[in-house]
Amino acid sequence: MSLGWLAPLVILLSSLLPALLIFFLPESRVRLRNGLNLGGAVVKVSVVGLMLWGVYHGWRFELAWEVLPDLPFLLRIDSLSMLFITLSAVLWLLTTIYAIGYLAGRPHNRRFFGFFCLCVAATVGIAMAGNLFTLFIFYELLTLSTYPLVVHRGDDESLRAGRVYLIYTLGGSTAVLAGAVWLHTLAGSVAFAEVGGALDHVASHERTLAIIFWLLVGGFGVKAALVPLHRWLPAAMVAPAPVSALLHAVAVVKAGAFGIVRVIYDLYGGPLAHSLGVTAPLAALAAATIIFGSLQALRQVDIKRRLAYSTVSQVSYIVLGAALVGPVATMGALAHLVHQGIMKITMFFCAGSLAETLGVHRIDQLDGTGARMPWTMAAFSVAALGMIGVPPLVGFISKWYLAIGALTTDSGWVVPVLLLSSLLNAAYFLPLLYRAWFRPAPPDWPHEHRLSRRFETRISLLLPPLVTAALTLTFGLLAGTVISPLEWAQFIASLEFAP
Amino acid sequence: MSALWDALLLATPGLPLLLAALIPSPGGRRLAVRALPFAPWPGLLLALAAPALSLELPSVVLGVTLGLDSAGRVFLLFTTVIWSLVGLHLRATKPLVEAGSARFLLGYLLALAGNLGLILALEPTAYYVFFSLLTFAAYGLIVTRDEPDARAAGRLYLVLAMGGEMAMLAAFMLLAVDWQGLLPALLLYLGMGVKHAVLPLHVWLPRAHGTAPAPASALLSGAILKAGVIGWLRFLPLAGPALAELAVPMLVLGLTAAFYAAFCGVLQTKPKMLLGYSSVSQMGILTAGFALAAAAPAAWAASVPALLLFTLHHALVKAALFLGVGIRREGGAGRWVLPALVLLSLVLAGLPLFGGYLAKHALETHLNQLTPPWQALAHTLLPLTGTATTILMGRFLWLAWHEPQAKAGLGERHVAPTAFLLLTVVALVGPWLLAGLTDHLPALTDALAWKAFWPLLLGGAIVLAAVVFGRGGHRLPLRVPPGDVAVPLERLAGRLRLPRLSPGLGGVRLPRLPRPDRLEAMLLRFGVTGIGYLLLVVLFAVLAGFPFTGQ
Repeated sequence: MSLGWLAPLVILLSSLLPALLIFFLPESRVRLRNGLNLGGAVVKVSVVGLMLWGVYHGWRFELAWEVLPDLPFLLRIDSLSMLFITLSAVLWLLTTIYAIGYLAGRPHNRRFFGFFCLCVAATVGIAMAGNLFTLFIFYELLTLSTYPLVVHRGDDESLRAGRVYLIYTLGGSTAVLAGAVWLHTLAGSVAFAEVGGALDHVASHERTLAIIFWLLVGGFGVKAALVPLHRWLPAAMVAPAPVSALLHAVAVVKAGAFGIVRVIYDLYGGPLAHSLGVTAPLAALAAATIIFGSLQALRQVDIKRRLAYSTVSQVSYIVLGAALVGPVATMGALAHLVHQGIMKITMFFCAGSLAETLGVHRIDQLDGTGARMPWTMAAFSVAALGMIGVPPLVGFISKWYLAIGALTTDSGWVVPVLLLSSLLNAAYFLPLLYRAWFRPAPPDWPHEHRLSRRFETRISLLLPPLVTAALTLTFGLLAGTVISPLEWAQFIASLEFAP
Repeated sequence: MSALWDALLLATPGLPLLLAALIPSPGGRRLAVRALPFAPWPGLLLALAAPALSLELPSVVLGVTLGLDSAGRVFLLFTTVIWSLVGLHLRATKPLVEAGSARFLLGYLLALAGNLGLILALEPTAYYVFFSLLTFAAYGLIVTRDEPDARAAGRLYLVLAMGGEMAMLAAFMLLAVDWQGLLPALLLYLGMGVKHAVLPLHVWLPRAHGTAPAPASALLSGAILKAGVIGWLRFLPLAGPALAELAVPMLVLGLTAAFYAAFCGVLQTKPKMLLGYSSVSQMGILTAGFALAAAAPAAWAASVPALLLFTLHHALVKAALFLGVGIRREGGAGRWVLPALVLLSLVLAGLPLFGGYLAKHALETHLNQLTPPWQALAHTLLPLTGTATTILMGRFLWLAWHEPQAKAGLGERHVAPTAFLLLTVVALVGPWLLAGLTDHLPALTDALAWKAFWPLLLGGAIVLAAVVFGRGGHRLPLRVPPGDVAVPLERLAGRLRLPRLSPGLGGVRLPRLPRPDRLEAMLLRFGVTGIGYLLLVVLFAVLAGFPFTGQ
């Protein structure tokens, strides 16, 4: 492939260019701004579609550039990148549609959409980063570009949340930087390896490697919201709904989880990480996070806060699966990267629609919402049942592979954790569904807007959650077909654990 | 031809799902209500006419196999008959077409799809998919009113059902990696057993079945109750030889349930609650029957026909009994209702020549699979269950006789008893046909011997004595609240202030979880923690020699 370097560039620019252009557009050019946004998203989705086919058939795309001697800026698209890029491309398109509807007629949309695109550019950058140095650059870019989104409302609460967010994530970045630099002094510049690990030549420095591992995982763990580094995530709930959706489903928490997966599989390589003895404690930490997040979720009365703690819990499934180091568990972890994304984004879309249309923010205000907004609540219900792990929805697929992976790697203790987590998920999601569908509606809603004459809410707020809810069902029901994330996860795992 | 059968196989759960998809639109709802009695017909046709089938769908979920085997055929027969006749009954109750009943209708159709689908599921994945569809949909059948008792019943049901599903899922996971030992068998026992209320997980059943509208209870106690039974039939043998270790606990728990539930049932005041307890009691007998099969895992297949016979008999009789409770008893066919209820009660108690007797007789032929002391125990106690049932059903008839005509709940508008009487006929004839086909008809001399009659006569005598005492003004000194042991547990749970499943966040004050909270609060003072974290990172690095190690 002589033009192989072009693909990463197109992917990156399809959101970077709109970002830059939007910053230079005046606030009033709504149509052009939306056009740029959607255009970029559509271009990206189409290119990604083509590349999926290519990567599946063995093509790899690479763009390298020596910044300093022996320190290349490396963009490389392998099977794992593709998983994350596809997820972000598709969900970015949907979130853009949703955000346009959500923010219509409000101030500061230029700032919002500019940083929104930048944030997505950073996310695909993380996906394509071919070494730790490049990963760090985009990781940092992501931190900085999401801050304006978190504080978008500009009130005291947002600013406080933004501060908490910055302190946590910058702390995490520092840890990543320290780990990356140290590793560089130890092993030189190493690119991530799709098959096996990249550090076999320095495998004798066991103690140092273990410490670097914890530095990196501690750094990425902040964004992945591992307990006790999770506190920024519920605080960041004050952000507008599309931001929360993107933060929870694709951009920030996933970047953290993705970083951890990269470190374990493509930097250290499963066997080395396993022999260093670092994966078992990480798995235990992830399990603790799963339970802790669920317990905290149970106590929240604000819908979005409950969803936030649920994210804390669910993202750790990915870390848990990665830390188990086995082909089946890896499949579960990677599939859940996508599965959690589509389920959680559905729920945030719906929560946002409820808030916009009816002014419903708290769980006790949900009574009768099923009758008033049946499609929205149907989408929400599908996603919630998926989170609980009800078959044939995607959450069940993740859970099944994680559990089988655990049993085949002699980590049977994971199974009760997963099942307990399912029960806790049921305990904090089913009451919401009960209220929505089985309780009568109050005489009037907290703050109702008539957003559409024909539909229950504005169509741009209704379609995205319906699409993602449909994906939640389809990917689970057709998990064995080529369109499912599971199939792609299996492809990645087969490369990673190639004999 | 085989493509046609495969299509029918898919249409069996597919048709109810399709009808469910029509519910949102008013026109579709009308159509769905009209089609209610016919929704199970693809399944009925399959059960009556199709050869043994097996259809593999490797790319659906984790790879599933649907099909029809001999056990599935029996289940499919009684399940489709019950759903058809209950559908016929429900259709005559007009309020179903109204918008307010859309949720009930949706629950009904989804539960039907789940119920039929799990009968056709030949392996764990498909079984679990349909099982959990049934679990959630049945909630819509149980909770039809926004009242505290219905809510509480629904909550108890869901808590136990979810717990059961997790146990079942764990068992399937263990079986998927070929785990040897008792654990999968135990998990299957509990996980699927929740559906048919094995001890000690029976508490939800009387309340749920007593709270739901009568036609829904007929479905719950007749058809849906057997969802776990077919799971046991298909998947318990997968646990292998370890299953034999489970035989004695199952026998003890089963027989205990048979008597304990009859005892609790007699002390009920509502006929439907009592019938719920009767189901627990009967399922206890069935559990004891499964213990016989489990005692000889190698001869599992030989024990299956007896279990099938018992299941078929109980499903049809219990569905008919529930349907008969909420029905008009005057005029035309109405005067047949009470005699039919009496006959059904006697059949349930084991009246010789009828279904209950045939089923118990078939089970007794397998008693020798147990080791001697247990064999003797079962031999003594099994006939006595007939006595217990007689007393229980005597009380039921007394309650049904004296209860003022049920107030018309959803689907209980006074309807002509056509469906009920039809179901009664099927319930009387069905077991004969099955016993005849599987060679389980006892000799006439056996059936008319003293041995077959004394449990009933003993029970009848006690009932008679009770009625005489009752006339004299004596009342039962004791009441057991529906849900027996769950009631103090629930009260305890309320006191413990644990996070509850309750959606009723009255006043939005949630129970406190002290420990995580304190951690949270500490972390929130983040000015300190964040800097601390950074310092820790640096310290860690310096201590470890950064950046001076390296080549």
